[in-house]
Amino acid sequence: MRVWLSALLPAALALTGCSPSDTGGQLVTFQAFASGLAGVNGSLDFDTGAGFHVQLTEARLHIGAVYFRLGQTNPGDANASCVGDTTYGLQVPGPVDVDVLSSLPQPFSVPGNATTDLDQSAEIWLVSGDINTVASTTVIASVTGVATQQAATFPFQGSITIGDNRLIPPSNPAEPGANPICKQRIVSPIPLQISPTVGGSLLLQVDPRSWLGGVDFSTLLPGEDGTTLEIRDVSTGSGPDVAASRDFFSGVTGASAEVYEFSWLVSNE
Amino acid sequence: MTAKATYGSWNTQRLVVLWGPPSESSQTFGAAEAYQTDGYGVNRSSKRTSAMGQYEIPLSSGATLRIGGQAYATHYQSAGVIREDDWKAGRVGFFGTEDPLQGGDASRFSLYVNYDKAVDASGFSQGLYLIRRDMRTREDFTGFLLDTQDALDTLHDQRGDLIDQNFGAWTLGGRGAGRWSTKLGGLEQSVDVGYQARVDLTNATQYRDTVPGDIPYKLETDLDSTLTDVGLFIDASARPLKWLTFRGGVRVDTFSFDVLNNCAAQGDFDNPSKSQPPTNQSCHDQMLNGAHREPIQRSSTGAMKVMPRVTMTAGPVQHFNFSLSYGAGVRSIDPSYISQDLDTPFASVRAYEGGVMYAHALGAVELSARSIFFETKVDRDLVFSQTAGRNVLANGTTRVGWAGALRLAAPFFDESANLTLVNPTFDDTHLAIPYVPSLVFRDDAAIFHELPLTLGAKPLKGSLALGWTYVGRRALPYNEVSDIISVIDANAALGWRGLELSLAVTNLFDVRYRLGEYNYASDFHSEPEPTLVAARAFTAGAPRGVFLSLSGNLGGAS
Repeated sequence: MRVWLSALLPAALALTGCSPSDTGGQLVTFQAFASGLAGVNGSLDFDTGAGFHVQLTEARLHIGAVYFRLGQTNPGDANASCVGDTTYGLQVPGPVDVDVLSSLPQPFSVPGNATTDLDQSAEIWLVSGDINTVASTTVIASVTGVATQQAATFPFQGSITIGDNRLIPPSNPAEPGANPICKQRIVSPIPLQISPTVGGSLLLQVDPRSWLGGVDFSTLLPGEDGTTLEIRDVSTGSGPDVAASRDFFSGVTGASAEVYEFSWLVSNE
Repeated sequence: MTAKATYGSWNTQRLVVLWGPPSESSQTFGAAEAYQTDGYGVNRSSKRTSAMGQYEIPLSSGATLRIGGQAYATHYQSAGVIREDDWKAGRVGFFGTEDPLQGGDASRFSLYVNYDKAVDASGFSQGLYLIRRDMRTREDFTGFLLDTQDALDTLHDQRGDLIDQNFGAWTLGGRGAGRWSTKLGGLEQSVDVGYQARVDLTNATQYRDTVPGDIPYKLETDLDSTLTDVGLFIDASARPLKWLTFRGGVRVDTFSFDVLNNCAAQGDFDNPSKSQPPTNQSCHDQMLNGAHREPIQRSSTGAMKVMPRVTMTAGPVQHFNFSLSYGAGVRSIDPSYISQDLDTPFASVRAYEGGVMYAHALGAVELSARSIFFETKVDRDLVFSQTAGRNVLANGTTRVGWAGALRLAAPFFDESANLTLVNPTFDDTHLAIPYVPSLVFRDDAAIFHELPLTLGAKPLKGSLALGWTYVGRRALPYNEVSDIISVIDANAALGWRGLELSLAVTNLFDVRYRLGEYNYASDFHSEPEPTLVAARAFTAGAPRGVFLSLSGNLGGAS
């Protein structure tokens, strides 16, 4: 009888729920939001490093998706691939069109998923559709406003698309895949330290001031209406305003935790 | 001679034939089976045929020579895994598939010859065998996730992660043993010595294929390997008391690995040749700055392993038998892990076991039961990898568990139950090993008897049988657990003379269950942008199936 009791003991333990299941970590589903800076409501005034005072009256950003990586990534990484490993700890794999001049949280179109592991860098995918398809006419970022410098006034507008116009030809013909278009569309690595928790949500605050920080508005040329200056949607070519166009593109796609600040909101916040 | 034909759900058809000449040894027989089905749900059709035969030739002085062969070939489609969110959103049915290109083929042919001779208390045996195996599997666990963009390749999208694995092997082996025994104090003592030797000549390739299209775009693995294992053993059995036996021995094996990697240089390197750019090549013949190299690389290694084992048995004492045992062994590793002069080209296993058995006849009912506690330690265990499409080496693990069995047999019923409990953990983190069930239970019960009905003065025989499979929750990555599997099968049969009509129902209550559950990153285009974080995926278990069989026997059952 004693033998049978000893034999049945582990069976009883297992049936009462003592079987092992701790494999580490946890999966989390959450809602993600994006907004402008706290307190912003319809316009934003600021001074730029190039010596202009800017009043933004419109600023919008199309975000295709957001991903967090578990480790830190090297901004100088020569790896041509944008995706291809499994080191991601958080995803919001759907778009949101953000009014950056509104502090109201604007929800992404799909819920996010994450593990509870520590994420250390973020990627913002500025895309609509396949990240590797070169052709695209989707406006990723757009701005409207007025810049002033001393007595001069520069009403301006600008927009960015990321398609054939941003494709960088390979410097070595033996490396035709060195500069895939996805590299131009992914804002990365944005440093952070976030461990998602059950019941929390994700907030991305976008500060558009650095988008225009290096732009010399005095070099811009009038657009189609003949009066409003235009930040052209180009990265190459000739003309005095090409540098301003490149600065605007660099401002939007530059990976900076000051421009793109992520925070994890726990449920009681 | 017996033939059995089956037809049932999903257009399943099966034909089995078995025969054995009554004038020959019972070791002389032949058998063959043909099977095909459309399969449940989507993309699960399969067909196979197998045959085997053996002829035993009695020789002088009580020796026997057995010659046999076996053949097996199959072709099948596989539904693979589906993402839970795709199923819940209605994008894929529960019995659907994410990738209809999955499936495989396999064949196995073998020949063997065995010579056995027993003289008084001694014995001798010698055997040779030759095996040819071929296998192809096409599996897609991750969808569109793993196709990296190399600088050396032209720009491309994610082309698909379909793994196209091919494996072929010739195995030639032999084994021989001799036995000497004597009696001391009326108790038998014995010593066995012998050897076993085998060589495996294998070729393995793994391509990634496009989805759709099924066109190979990348060669990931191309290995030609020669693996040998030559070992000897000595095993002694000492029985100092009638109820006490010690068995112990040692096995010494030498393993050698000779692996030719036909695609050793892969991926990007700096400054490729501009005059001969290695664009879109899976296996490069260049390296840094365009310098030439051959795309192959050979690695070889060898190792010897001493593997002791010892067992003590005591009993029977009041129908109980007790045993304690310890043993060490090895499991050779995947040739892809072989590097030049690798010290230990195998995983080492140590196993401890202690148990008690009970056997007793209670009137017409024979009762037997078994309780065994065990611990198994593996220094490099195998764990499923969705990216490799197979089990890959992981850290050391320990499995502590208990296995119990109970059987009741009587002239009109038979009951057999088996329960295994195990606590599997990694040695370094002490976390649970994913995908291993901690509880597996199987019960088979049958009643059979002549019925009070006759036909042509011959009685009808009936039988009813139930089988219950219960698999407890399996630990999944990220602290999740799988669903329980609990499925009951049933069978009813009616026999008359040499004929039998039977009806089998699998998954009697049509339980919708998941055969396998996983947590890992995959992207089957279920969201606007890629899904890169671990999510639940599963393979669907079979729904209820009904199968009717008719069998006939000519010339007697034995």
